Amino acid sequence: MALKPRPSDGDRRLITLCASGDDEAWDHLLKEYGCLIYNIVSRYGKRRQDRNELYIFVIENIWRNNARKLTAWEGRAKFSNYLVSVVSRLCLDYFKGQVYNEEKRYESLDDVRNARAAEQTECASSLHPGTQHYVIHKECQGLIEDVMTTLEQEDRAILILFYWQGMKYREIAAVMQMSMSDIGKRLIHAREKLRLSLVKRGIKNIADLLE
Amino acid sequence: MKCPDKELLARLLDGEEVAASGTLRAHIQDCELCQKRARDEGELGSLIRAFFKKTTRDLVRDAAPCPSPEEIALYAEGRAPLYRKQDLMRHFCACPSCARAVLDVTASRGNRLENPPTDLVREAGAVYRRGKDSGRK
Repeated sequence: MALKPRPSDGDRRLITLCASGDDEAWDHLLKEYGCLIYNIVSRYGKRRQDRNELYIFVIENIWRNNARKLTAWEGRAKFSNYLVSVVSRLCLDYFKGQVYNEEKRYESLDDVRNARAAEQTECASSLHPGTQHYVIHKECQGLIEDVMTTLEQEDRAILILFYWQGMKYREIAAVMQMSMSDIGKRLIHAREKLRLSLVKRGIKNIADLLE
Repeated sequence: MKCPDKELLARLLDGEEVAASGTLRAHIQDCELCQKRARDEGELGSLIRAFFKKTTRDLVRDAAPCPSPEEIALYAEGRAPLYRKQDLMRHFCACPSCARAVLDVTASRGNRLENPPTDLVREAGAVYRRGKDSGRK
């Protein structure tokens, strides 16, 4: 009895043909997945010119070395998702390698992260002007580390994604594979736990830890 | 207006979209209790941010190598092996690039796709043919 071909079989055949240098296979690949690639690229390129350059950069790199980036697909994940993951990486490689002119805001992912953190601070400080960027007193660093270890690993991860990577609830939910409301509740819970731990250690005024 | 509950206030201070945020902000500006709550949250947020700014360098340095694109895709699909999930989650905390890739895979599912411009598609096709003609592989 003939087995029904799995959806991934068609993608596998297409990739094999692309790797062998088949023109039509490449045209078919671009027809099938060109939109997907373009949409990922559009998230990274602010201007049309940037998006177009990035698109060509991605296509060139996918094609390179007998389509090695495609043939590396093992078939465990869905091919379209795998391709998005490859394209995302390529976009970030391009992003890291570029020197930005004045029209582009960021020079590195650190800048993106810092900008997000600044946005969060600005939001909080619009409600309370006292919120600023601080540094922890050296002698208090160990105390804070102790307090952080009392948190569950997942809560700590959520804090890192929110406060260091500057992610929104929706983004954290996608990375942690939880719902947005769970993320909100866990953030509240983690902060409460931190506050209580600090109080237990005799810290009633958090501002005393900061300079 | 009644003071917002803990969850609502947290969402507002975290920069999330909240219904009637204008009204809420106006209330907070006028309410001493809410001002105090916002100040406390602000100070705690500053502390956490300052802590991670100092310590995440170690986190990044000690992070495992980046997973393959396939593993990232599997994770985003919710199908990463159980024994790998915790390690991957730890990695994504330390590696914004991989975290971003997870977000891209998640966001691309079910979205309406915009077509690339025709001239760009033509140019993309030419990329392959140019490389093939020049014998570059």
